Amino acid sequence: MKKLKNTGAYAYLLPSFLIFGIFLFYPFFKTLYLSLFKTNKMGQAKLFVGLGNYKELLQSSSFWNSLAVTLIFVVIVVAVSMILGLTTAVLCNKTFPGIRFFSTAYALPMAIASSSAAMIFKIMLHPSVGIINKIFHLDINWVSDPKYALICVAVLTAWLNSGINFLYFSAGLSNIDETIYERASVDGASSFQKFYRLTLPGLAPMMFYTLVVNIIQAFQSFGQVKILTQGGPGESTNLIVYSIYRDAFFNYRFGSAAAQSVVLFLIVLVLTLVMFKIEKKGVKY
Amino acid sequence: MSQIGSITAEKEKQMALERQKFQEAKAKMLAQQKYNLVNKGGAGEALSMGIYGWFFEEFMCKQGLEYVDNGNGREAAAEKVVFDENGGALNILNEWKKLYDAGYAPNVGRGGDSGLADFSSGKAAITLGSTASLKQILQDVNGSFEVGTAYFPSITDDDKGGVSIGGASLWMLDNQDDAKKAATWEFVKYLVSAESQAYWNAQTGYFPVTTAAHDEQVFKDNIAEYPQFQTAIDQLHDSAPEYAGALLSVFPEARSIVETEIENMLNGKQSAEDAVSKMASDMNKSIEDYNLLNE
Repeated sequence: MKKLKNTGAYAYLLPSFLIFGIFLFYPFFKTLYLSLFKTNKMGQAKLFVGLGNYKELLQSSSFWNSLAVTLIFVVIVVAVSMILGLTTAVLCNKTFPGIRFFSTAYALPMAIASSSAAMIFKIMLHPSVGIINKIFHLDINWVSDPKYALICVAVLTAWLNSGINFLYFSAGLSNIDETIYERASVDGASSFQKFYRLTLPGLAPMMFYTLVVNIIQAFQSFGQVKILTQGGPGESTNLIVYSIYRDAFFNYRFGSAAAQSVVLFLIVLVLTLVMFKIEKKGVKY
Repeated sequence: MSQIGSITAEKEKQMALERQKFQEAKAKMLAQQKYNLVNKGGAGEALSMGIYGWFFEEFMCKQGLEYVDNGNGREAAAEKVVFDENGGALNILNEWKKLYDAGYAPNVGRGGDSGLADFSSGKAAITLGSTASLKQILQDVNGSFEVGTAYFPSITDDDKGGVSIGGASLWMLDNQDDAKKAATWEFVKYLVSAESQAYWNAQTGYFPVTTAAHDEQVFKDNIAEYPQFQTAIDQLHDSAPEYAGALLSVFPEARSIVETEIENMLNGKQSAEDAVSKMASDMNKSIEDYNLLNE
């Protein structure tokens, strides 16, 4: 009887394993395999170079630049998007007339595709006919200036991610018991103290989850770079995913692209493990 | 200039001049520069030239110089670039830098279409672009000023070369299916028919590949209304097959390298000579890798 029960369970898991197998596990192992070769233009592994691709990567200044740029990008995106999401969630915490409109507006970035938003931003940031330069009376070529290009892409991404952060934080806020605020008022707490000592710790589990998800998502940003800057100017927005795309589908160097993918995977893996370790200490349920 | 599943048309580069903003009193022709540039006679900028690898290739063709070895890649697969050896690249980069430093050709971004917005909005006096964008420009300008066209500029007055063609093209894949092959061929014949080519030219500015298209009424009417379309056709007839440009296995990557190095040069990160040698070394490495892995 017991054996039958277990087989039943595994049978239910089969469909999902099939999908995972085709779309997740097979590409994963194929990428590992390809990263040990140099490929021809059709993507077939031609020359076994072992760790040669990785060695070339570690010696390439372009790759280190990608890593540095990606790290700066992730920090800006995660910080700005979480602050934006938290602010909007706190603003929409208590009902007021017209809250429907505002909460829809704050959650709207979730529904916008990153490519469409990037195209709109491209026109807005145009130095001659763009609205940003017209409103602030500036003459800066935003996406062609190495100083500002990364900030533009980061702000756009942060705004796009703020929608879902608003949702997460709203859910987290609604989990906090209302009565503790009343008790704190009786004790004479100011609203700042209430926020800092009651809201934030109450949000800690949700914040941790949002942080992990945001970091992983920021590492995978692609559409905005492809449309706005194509990795330029001067590689200042050459995020690692974009660099992988260029190497694979533009330069037809699948081996090197696969090696970069593996490195990206390791970085995100290490980061996630570190975050989970910290969670054990920091987050109280 | 959409190239997805589009009709065969050889496209040309041409300049669009803006005569309305020309103020005689303020115009001063640069004595040293030997090519025709309308100066800042009231325009916001003289020339809006995007950082586009294709322009670099055209400038090489206009000088009559080769891009890669082995007969510009046409006699055998290219093994290395020669634009550094024959000095063509340095000429181009020096002139580009001069224009940028003098403030005549600011950095308007990468890609072939990046200079068009400045021109259509009336900020730039001249822009470089494909004939394929001519219709778009005329529509965007919508009569607010007169639009003229001229040949693609050469680097010096002595340049003997001509322009090469490029752009949208038709390809048929061999799927070992005879029915599909026949059907595709019928479609191709339709697309290159005189009628289709005349319509295609009138609607976009793409150069018609069928000479019979010149006799179509649609074509003649379009030329009568917009004589600007004729410039590209004259320009190609004034060129010659030996200036047809290079064949190169890693062209997308090469073009990207050219754009990156020019961008770095304009941003002051390197001199023109360094840019040329970096371009050459990066491209040679890619060509080597490609030839090694693809027989």
